[in-house]
Amino acid sequence: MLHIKELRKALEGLSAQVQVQGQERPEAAHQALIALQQAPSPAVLRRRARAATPDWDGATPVEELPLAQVLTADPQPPPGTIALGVDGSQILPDRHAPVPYYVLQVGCLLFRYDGTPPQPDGYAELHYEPGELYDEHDGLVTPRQIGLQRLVLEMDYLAQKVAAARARYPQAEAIYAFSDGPLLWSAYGEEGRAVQQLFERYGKALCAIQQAGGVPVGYVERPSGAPLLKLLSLPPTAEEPAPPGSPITLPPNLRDADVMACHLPRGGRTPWLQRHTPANRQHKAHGQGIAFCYLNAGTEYPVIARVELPLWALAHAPTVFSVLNHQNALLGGYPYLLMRAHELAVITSEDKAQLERAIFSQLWQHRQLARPSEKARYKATLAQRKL
Amino acid sequence: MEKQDILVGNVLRADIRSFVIASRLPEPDVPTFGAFVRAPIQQEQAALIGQVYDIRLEADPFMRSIASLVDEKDPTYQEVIADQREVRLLPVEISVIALGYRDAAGRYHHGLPPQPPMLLRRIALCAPEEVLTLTEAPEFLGRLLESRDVPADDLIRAAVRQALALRPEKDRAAYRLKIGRYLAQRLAQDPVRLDELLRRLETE
Repeated sequence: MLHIKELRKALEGLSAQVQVQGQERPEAAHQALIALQQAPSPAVLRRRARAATPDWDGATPVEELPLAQVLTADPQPPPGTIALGVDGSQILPDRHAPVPYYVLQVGCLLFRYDGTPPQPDGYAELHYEPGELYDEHDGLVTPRQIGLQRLVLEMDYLAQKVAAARARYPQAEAIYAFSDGPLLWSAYGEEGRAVQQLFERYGKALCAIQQAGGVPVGYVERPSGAPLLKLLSLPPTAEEPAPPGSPITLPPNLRDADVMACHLPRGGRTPWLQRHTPANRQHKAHGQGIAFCYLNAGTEYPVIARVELPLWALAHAPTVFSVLNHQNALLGGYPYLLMRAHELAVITSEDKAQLERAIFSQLWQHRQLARPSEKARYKATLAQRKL
Repeated sequence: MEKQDILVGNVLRADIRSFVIASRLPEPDVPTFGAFVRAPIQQEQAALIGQVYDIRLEADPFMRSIASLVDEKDPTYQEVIADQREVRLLPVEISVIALGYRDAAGRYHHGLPPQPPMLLRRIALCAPEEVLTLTEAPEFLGRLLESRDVPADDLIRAAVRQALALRPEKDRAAYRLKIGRYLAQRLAQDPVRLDELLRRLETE
């Protein structure tokens, strides 16, 4: 039972904070928008980034286009275009469960623009070996570690599906492989051999997609972070003439997406940018440096997404964004094929209960009886209690 | 289940008079209004025979969000419509009225069965010979005439149409007459309904 009365004061604080941010954000976004429109050339911006401190983690333009330029794509990709969408889900291990295990599952939809029904697919793994369940310090594998494993499994699976699609449709110009989430590895700097091994697998999967004629695309709805605003906040270098006004200072809670919601029209996107982070340097070492741009995917109101592509794949952008225009229009701002992949990947509480019944039944066939912990048993009883 | 059964779906809810089947069949395989179906009862020793009286398709939130947008004739949405219709297969709810049952000895009885089918029992379409046997005596229409919760007259018409189609041409006039006499007897107090029903059956 949630002691909601105890939270009343905190709830008032939360709503007051949202109200203040709601008042401050449009003004701050407006200032940032002016800075974007008055931004110097990409070459000057890159020079500013080079002059920044080594730990600066903003983004710089990839192309020579003005930073404020809005690019658009066709509403529909060419006939015969092939797109794959992948998403994953998991059952986390529970140390109170009768038997410790965890599950990773991937759902995938192959969408061909040729009038045929899309093809659903999926894959699941049950992990139960002690070496998988416990880390080097004998601690139960954490949700973070499982999240990374899931990410790698999604990319591995996508690579397999791209290879299969390529074998089946050798004439296709490219196989566009969309995943729900960033392409840029998010665990850079995290310790442990296991994490490093996972990154190696992840990098190999990206390379496999490339070799099979695929184009990996990361799709992040409601992106956090402000790498573009960090670029706009960089001071001019000594070689630049003095700017007309004072350098902009942006509030810390403003995100790129807030500014893009004012800047990008429906279906419009920014030029390509690349992050200056250790993770992207690691990607580049594998030949898989990642670029990103912001897209207004909304149909009725702005829905800002960050779209990520390997630097080698940027020439495929027109088709990538025409696929996204078509897919996003169907659900008002989120790609249809990723929503279907999510639907195919998701593990419901009924699915989990069914799996646990299957585990019990399997154990019982071997005359093994597994019990949940006493805590789990009482928790289950309390959960069934009628109010 | 019997050899070469055409399965329709599983029992979702049931009472002694009727039951509802959840089905995920593609459009061409969804049973039609008035089709005869068989449900195992009494530990599969007996079988309830019923008739489909309603087919309900309900969209989920996913489907609802695209329903107002897509146009069947517009090639832009061709793949998505095919996905929703042929791949995603939202459950179809099929409602069935019990007409009678076949007991463990293989005898057919008209009227309510001894028990409803259990949940998740698999339901199959009746084979032609089952429909022939069930419809031999016109009393199979009794449950339809008594029921106020189903479109009874349309079901009677559909049942008689199927029964006639399964019989040789030479026997059809006699069968139609037998049905007509039964209806006249049962609907003597309701001449308007009887007249309407008989006129509709003449065209079958």
